[in-house]
Amino acid sequence: MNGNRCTTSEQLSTPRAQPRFSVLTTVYDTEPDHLRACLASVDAQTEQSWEHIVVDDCSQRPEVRAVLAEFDGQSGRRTVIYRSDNGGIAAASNDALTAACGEFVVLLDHDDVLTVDALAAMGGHLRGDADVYYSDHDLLRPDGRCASPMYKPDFSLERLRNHNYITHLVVARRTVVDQVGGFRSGFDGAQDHDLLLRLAEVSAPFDHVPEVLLHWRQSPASVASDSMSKPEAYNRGARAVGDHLTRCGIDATAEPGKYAGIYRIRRPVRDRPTVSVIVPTRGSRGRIWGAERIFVHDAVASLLRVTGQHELAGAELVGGIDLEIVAVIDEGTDAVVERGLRSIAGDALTVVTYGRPFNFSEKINVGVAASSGDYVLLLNDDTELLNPGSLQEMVGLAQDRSVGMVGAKLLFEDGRLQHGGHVYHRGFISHALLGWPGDHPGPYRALAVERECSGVTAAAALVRRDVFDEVGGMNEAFAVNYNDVDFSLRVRASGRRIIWTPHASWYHFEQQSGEHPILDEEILTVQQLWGRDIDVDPFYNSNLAPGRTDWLELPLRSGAPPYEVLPDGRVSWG
Amino acid sequence: MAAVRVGSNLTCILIFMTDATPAEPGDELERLRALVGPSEIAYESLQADRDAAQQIAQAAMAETGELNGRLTEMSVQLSRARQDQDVLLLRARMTPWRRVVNRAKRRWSTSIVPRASHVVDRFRSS
Repeated sequence: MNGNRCTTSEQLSTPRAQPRFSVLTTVYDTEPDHLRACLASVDAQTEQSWEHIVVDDCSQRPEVRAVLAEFDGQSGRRTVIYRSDNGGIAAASNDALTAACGEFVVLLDHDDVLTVDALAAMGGHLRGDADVYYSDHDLLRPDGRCASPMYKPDFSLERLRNHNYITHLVVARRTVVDQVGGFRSGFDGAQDHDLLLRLAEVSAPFDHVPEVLLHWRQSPASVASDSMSKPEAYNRGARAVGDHLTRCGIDATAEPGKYAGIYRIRRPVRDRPTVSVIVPTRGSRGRIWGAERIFVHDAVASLLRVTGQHELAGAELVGGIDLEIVAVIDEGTDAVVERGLRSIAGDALTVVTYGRPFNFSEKINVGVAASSGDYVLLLNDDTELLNPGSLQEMVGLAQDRSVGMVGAKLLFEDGRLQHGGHVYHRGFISHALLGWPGDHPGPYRALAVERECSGVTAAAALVRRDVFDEVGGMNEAFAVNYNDVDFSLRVRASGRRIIWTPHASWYHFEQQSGEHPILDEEILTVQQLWGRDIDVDPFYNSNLAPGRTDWLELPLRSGAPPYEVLPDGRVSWG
Repeated sequence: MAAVRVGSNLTCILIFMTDATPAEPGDELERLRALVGPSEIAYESLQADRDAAQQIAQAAMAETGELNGRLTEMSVQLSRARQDQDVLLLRARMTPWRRVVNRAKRRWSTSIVPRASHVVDRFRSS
């Protein structure tokens, strides 16, 4: 490359203060109009303290050079570097990084467009204790309209491991980018994801600016238009995630997932732990798929059946987990319930008789007190295990000491989504995407990835015993509802993460085992205890409508419908 | 006295048990045969029939659930369109002066106040 890192006296004829932002753009055979729009959007910034480093990675199209020449002298703050050979996006990006001298670097693709106040808005959020910032973005359709804004959560490490939900616009302190070694070669197409993962290792959490500050161009060949357009990039992305996990000391593998751009992380279970399954029950019966059942029998049998422990209670499970079943049974429950459980679980069963008025939290607490496992699985009796590997998935995640609690995907009897993590948004508490199709990937793939949540339901949640004890167990002030909300918020207040995973799943026949209407006092208590925490959900977004948990935007913030190329080649404008 | 309803070939038989005396094994066998019906299907077969029926019921419910789920998803799209339409209609009905005031209010609450608070925060932290 031709450029060296500039200083105010080396590269500029007149001394100038160090700019706040260095916008880095690599160019290769860009559509001239798109490149023009990109460069013009930088020139139009209301923020004045910036420089623009453009590296042409030996473009073959002569128009590219013409456009760069056209814009070269306009602002007086643009440095254009022409590479003599095509080195790929990582090499070109490193050249740009080397030439940058701003306090922060801004990564801008050659066909994307910044909003006019992008740098000013970022500048307004810069703090001393954060090194990396990212904003929301939307898609720029070929007809020039902005569509499908992506309103992102605040920093979510687990989600970043599962897919690059951040993408654009990223601003990072240059010294930190230098510290992690800039862009790595061999990761072209996923170089930005690789960089973000390495930045996360040294300077998490990133700061999120909940404003659309970049329009990501949706052209037929771009990932914004068709996420399958660069399959090789996803293989490299999986490698980047795998490397990151190794550097973090996490024993796990990553591979391309079910959907493009999603990575499937598999974590082996270590040290053959014991999981204590705490099932409070009063032996409720109900009719599921036309047949009557005693719920708790099927809840326990489904756990043991898939693990081969059905007839050999106490034996090691597939995946290296031992299981202990603790049934907390109400006094006066039909004896057939306990008898059935004994025949299903054998020696693995511990029965605790509960003789006080119904209090779910207290039942959980006495169940946990009677258990001995390293992990505690809180399980409602009206459930049935769906994915045989669920426990392994949850334990795999909970092995990480920074994780306090792991939740699962729960489906209604008819396969619709019952639980996709909690959302606490503007005082409204509910399950994310309640009632959506159970196999739907969700908006922005929210239902297809492991991600941090504000809370998860206690109908099927795994907690490490030390975490359960440290936060003081379930709050018995919440006898029926919101005990899991309170528990989740206390786990988070202890500094730990709560992860929801789609790879662990149960049926949850909610409300079939009894009606539990939410009382006004319960709402009042949770508001008094957790006012702000149920008002602002860091894993949702302030641009989304109140009173809902389905990622519906506030009015007039949803943009145009997305542009889509149909299989027959026609274009659908949504 | 307990009444047990037994369905077989659309015929209902009512068996009345008038005392609690344990039945002889032969009587019990006859009673169970009457419960099962004249064809005396094995319990394993009955179990298999029940399992098959349950699977069919589950598949049918899953199809309904899929459709209901799609409806939920579409209702979000509908809400999106309706709320946008609502705001646009409201704007269309506004007088120019009201529109200016509204825009100023919105800019004040969504842009100026948050940015000013950021500046204040930064000033305080420095």
